[in-house]
Amino acid sequence: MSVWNFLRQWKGKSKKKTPEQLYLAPEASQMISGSLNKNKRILDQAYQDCADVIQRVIRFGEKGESGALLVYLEGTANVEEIDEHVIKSLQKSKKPVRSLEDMKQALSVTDAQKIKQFADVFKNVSDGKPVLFLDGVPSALILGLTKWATRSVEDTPTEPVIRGAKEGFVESLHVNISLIRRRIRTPKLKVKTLEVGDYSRTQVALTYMDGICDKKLIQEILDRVNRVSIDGVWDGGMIQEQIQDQRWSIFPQIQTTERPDTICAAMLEGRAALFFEGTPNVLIMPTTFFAFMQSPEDYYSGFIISTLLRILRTIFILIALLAPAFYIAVITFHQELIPTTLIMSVIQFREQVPFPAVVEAVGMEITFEGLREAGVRLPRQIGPAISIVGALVIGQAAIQASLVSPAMVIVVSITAIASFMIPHYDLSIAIRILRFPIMIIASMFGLLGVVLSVICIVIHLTSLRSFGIPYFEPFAPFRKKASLDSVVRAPLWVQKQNPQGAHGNRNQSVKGRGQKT
Amino acid sequence: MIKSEKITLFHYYLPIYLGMITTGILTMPTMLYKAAEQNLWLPLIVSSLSGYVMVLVVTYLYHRFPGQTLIEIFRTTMGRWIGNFCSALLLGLLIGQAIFILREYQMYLTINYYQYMPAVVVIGLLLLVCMYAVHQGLEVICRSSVFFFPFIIAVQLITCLLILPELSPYRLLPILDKGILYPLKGAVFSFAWYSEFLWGAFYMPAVSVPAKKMLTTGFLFVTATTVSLLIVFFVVICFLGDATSQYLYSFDIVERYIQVSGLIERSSALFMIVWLLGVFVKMALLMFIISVNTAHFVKKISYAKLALPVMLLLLLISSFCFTSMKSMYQNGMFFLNICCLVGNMILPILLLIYCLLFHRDTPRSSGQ
Repeated sequence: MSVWNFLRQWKGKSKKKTPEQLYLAPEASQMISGSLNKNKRILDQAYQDCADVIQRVIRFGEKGESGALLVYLEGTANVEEIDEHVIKSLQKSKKPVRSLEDMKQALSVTDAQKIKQFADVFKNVSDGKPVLFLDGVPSALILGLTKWATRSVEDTPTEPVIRGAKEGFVESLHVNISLIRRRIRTPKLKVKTLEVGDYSRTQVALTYMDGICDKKLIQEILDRVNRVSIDGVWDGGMIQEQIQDQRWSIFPQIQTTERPDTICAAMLEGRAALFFEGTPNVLIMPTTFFAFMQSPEDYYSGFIISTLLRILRTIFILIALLAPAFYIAVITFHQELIPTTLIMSVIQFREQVPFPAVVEAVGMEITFEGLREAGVRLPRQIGPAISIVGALVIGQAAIQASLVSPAMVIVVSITAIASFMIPHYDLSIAIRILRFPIMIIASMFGLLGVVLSVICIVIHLTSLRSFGIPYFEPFAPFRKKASLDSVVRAPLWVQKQNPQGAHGNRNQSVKGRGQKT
Repeated sequence: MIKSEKITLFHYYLPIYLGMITTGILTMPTMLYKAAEQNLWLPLIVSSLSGYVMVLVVTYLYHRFPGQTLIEIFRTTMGRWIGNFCSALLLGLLIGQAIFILREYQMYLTINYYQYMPAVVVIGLLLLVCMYAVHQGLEVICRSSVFFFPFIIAVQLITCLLILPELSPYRLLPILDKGILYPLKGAVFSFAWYSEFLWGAFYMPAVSVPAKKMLTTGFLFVTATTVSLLIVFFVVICFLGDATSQYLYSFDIVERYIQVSGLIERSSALFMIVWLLGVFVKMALLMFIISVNTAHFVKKISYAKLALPVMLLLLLISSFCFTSMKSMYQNGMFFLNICCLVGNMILPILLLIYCLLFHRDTPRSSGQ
């Protein structure tokens, strides 16, 4: 027992390091000293083997009697502005610079803050802000002259639309927030920032509309994000996985998007959005199943068109999920369901094929999923080659070699088209995966198996919650007002405001993570 | 236990309604035709009275003992011994009903679709899915039934509409040719059917509404059940006439005769699918009730954990009972009627009378 106790204590001790201790250098606890040389020594120690840290001593004053030390990370600070507004201004200044206040006056920089601890120095240098030490003064100035490399705002390749804005989010948090601000011009749009990741200290911004969004929801999101313990965050997906209500579910309970208009619409419906530095994917929560079947374009083209499109999508989701399973069930168990003339030709083709329908179907579907995955990973130049190979593999040659029947090829291709019709990748991949167990169950129990598996999926979907909101919301439980914007889209003048029933105004309590209802 | 789950009044009655019409549509026309011939609408309307009575009983108990299930009410009013005995009896009778429903479902599938599949497998599959549903709780059962509701109703209605050109209404005549009393014999059978409205009493604490609203909504659902069944009965009689008694599953036969430009000729699978949805709703609800009841006996265990043992028990009993068609429809039907009459009608009504006579002193709390 004593060994265990010792181990437990030892383990506990090693775990005690706070996140601050993890990402900061050991020198962080020291205060900035008045001597420039001492400060330089501490910096040298902390930034040992960091070739990209630039330390520059500036001499200025009439006889070069004053000294200053500038520290910044190469590539993150705006060098032109440093040259123009810091070094030149200091050298040109005629008044003697004895304190930081004097220096602030001498510099032509708007954003300049005073700090006293080395911890803040390290933090701000990592954030890309240059730090300026002055000889004889035990504090330093942070200069807001950052310039991170970022790509320009472009169309999103993952969520293309025909009508609607062609802007997509980029990897910079500030640019992304500005894209939102441009669309919703009110101080009621709130932005809360926090940091996630023990080493990466990724900046995260939570945006919501004050007065529309439920306060409890905001608190719950903050709580859940703060509870996450992770070394680094490179995409919202890494956090999404850990803050979902049901972490073991295959269905996404948080929506991701790269489109500013989607985020703005969601926020006006009372949802909150979570932005991450370094990724264009933004999380929307809470969400419902039917949000994944909607495209922003639905609201831009007329309501008749979008209602028809949504119904079409719903039908094709069912096809994507059930078509191969239905084919297997009918071929194996319920031949009487096929019209006589059709069954004659089906039998004729199937005579040549040596495998049972389920082997044929599962094999074909796996081949297709493989082709698709390969298509995503391939360099763009080789793309067309794989489609030719693919067409041959799951097309003509396979039929001629009697490996599969033509009917099967048709079923697989319809399924493939159907799964491409789902606007959101997260849902489409869930449906693609669920197709396989249903196919196997169908081969064992026929239509009974198919129906029972669909019932199981419905039970699962109705039991899910996304931040307290039932996942299958407008239908189970049924909400008349919200159902106007689900599988159908009622005209905007009928929906009036807050089509999803405004989650904030609904007094729907937000349940904790994993809490069963 | 179920007090933490909240459902609306619509959710409260919907599973009962769906369960009644799906099983009712399949076997009731043949059964009632044997008793009342073309006048089978009369026993149905008469027996729907028992549905109203049951809703009244449930509402009274709900109003009088808020936050208690039927089992708890038995315990608090009748004392420990009689209360326990009555709840054990109720539990047994509920299991009896469950066995019959399971067998009925299995017979239908075996006869029409799965001649070679063992009965245990067919029953076991449904029980597995129901177990999952019970595990997720009452809210989920009710919500999924809300989701299935439009599909079930749509398919039945479309069937009735598409068969319209083939109907000959004169088959409903002559009305009451053998007097009023002759068709009423069939009412005994359907009395038991409508008594299923008592099932709501087992999960009353999940709703919180004024008793008056509960009563009116309940009446509405009983009426809806009668109307839906009447529509189907009329369609069956107008289509099959005397031949109704020849077929075990007469509405299924009706379905097979639909012909729309040779396209929707083989829609019987569609009928089977929605029928399965209905049976699932009924069975899941019943299994939930049984689990909750058992949980009252074995205290400190949540009903979700009891789902597995209840499922195994049902599977075990149902694999021994009514193994043949004949035994099911001769002995089983009698057995079911006894179960329903005693468990769903006589016991609760006795409880009601007992409460009215001897328990007037219990303070009434919030309600109307």
